[in-house]
Amino acid sequence: MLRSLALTLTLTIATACTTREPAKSEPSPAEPTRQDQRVELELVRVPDGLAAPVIAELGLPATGLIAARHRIDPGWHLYWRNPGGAGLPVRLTSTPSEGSTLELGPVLYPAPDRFDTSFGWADEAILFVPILSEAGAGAGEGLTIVSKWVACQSEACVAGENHATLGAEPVGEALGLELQGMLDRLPRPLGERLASHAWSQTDERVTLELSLAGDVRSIELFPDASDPALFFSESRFDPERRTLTITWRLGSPGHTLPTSQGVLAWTDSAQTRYHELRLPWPALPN
Amino acid sequence: MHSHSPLLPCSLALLFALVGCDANHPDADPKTEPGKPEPGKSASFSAPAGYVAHFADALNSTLTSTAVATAETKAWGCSVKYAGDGPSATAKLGEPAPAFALPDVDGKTLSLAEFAGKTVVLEWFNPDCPFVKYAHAEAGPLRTMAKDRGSEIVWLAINSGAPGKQGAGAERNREAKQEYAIEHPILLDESGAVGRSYGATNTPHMFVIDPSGKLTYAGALDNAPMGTVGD
Repeated sequence: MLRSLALTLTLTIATACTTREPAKSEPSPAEPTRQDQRVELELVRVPDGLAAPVIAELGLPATGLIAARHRIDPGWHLYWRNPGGAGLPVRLTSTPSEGSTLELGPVLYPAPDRFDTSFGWADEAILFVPILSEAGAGAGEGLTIVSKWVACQSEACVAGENHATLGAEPVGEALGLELQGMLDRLPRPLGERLASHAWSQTDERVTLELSLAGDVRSIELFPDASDPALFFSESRFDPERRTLTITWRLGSPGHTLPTSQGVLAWTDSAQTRYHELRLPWPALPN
Repeated sequence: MHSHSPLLPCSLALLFALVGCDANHPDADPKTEPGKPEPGKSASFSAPAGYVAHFADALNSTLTSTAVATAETKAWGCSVKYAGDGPSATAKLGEPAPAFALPDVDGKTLSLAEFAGKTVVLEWFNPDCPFVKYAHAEAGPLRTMAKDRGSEIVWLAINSGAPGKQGAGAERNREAKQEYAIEHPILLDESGAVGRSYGATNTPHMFVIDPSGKLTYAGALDNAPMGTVGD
């Protein structure tokens, strides 16, 4: 917990520091780059009309969002913040333009899809970067983001990186719909949607049973990595009782647990919604 | 959000915070002699802040006959490119490691039994997996680790990739021995039977077997896939 807090604060400091540093290179503005054949990267500022409701729902201290849009070759996929059984999370690094006062927050990862034992996105992955502060309109223009990733398909994996620079081009209708689709996948706080939950433990396992309020047809968990303290075993939805049972196997004592158990994807009669499952962990054996 | 920052104060702030946090980590191992690589760690490798050498720590404990503090971690890397599905793992920590006999890249068969009484490292391997490329690169954590250990241990790389999959086959792995300056055997497990018996899911995926033949560690090389400590 302390380590996570220190890391967050430190990265915020480091990000704030870089806002005074000029950019080292001058890539052409807003041109998607194709430095590797598997992935293209494009940066756009999310229109305020799309960003503002999400910022409010997530309770972010942000003035806007930057979208890092990865277009992925057919058959390949990129990886979520917990890649699961294989792969590596997409990692973004920023370099603000000369004289910029931009301050950016931690990357927001939309809920993923499942690829066998892994979690990620095929075809397109849009990650969002909150703008925590900016002086004046257009402060983000010239911001360069480098994306480092591992892409895999069933036969092979490759590592690569792309860079892109934020321009001032308006977002068209088609891209706006794509952005909205991925913004909808940003996990919201669970809040009052959580109807009940109960932890239980044995010598070998930790189990959480939960139910959600509303017309819930299915629930799935995309777990955060919690090893080597706990190893995620399974999550199973009981359609009769409308409960989700999540099981972890106990690992080695003394290791830090993540602040979140993962992301819940639940479906009603109309759509799938995503919530961050962030409950205090039970006391584990020392 | 990660940011490039050439400003020294900022870099120092980042380094200080991460090192400061890691100093209290239960796996942090401060036993480094001046002028020598930390035991079990590659001499060519410079560990990032917050680094935890899960595998090397377990190997050191096994060599000194002390209990392994973290005997299991989740391996990271590429998935092992098996030929379809297969049986579940039979290997269990603290129990005898599954026996095997496999050909190396020159067709010579090696069996685990012939190394009885020695500490054995098994490293699941795919020379074209980006995680393996990173680990065996000039400054990678596995570049010199096996050589640094000398005759203290037996190190066996095992490639369970099916024919036609990325990094599979005797020819490619013979090349890889040169490419990565690997002196230990690379064994070919094209049926995947040995990999499955150990539950090897990734490349690299590390296992340690003590001199009595029992499995003392299964899991990740460290907590820093591709050199980056998770955040």
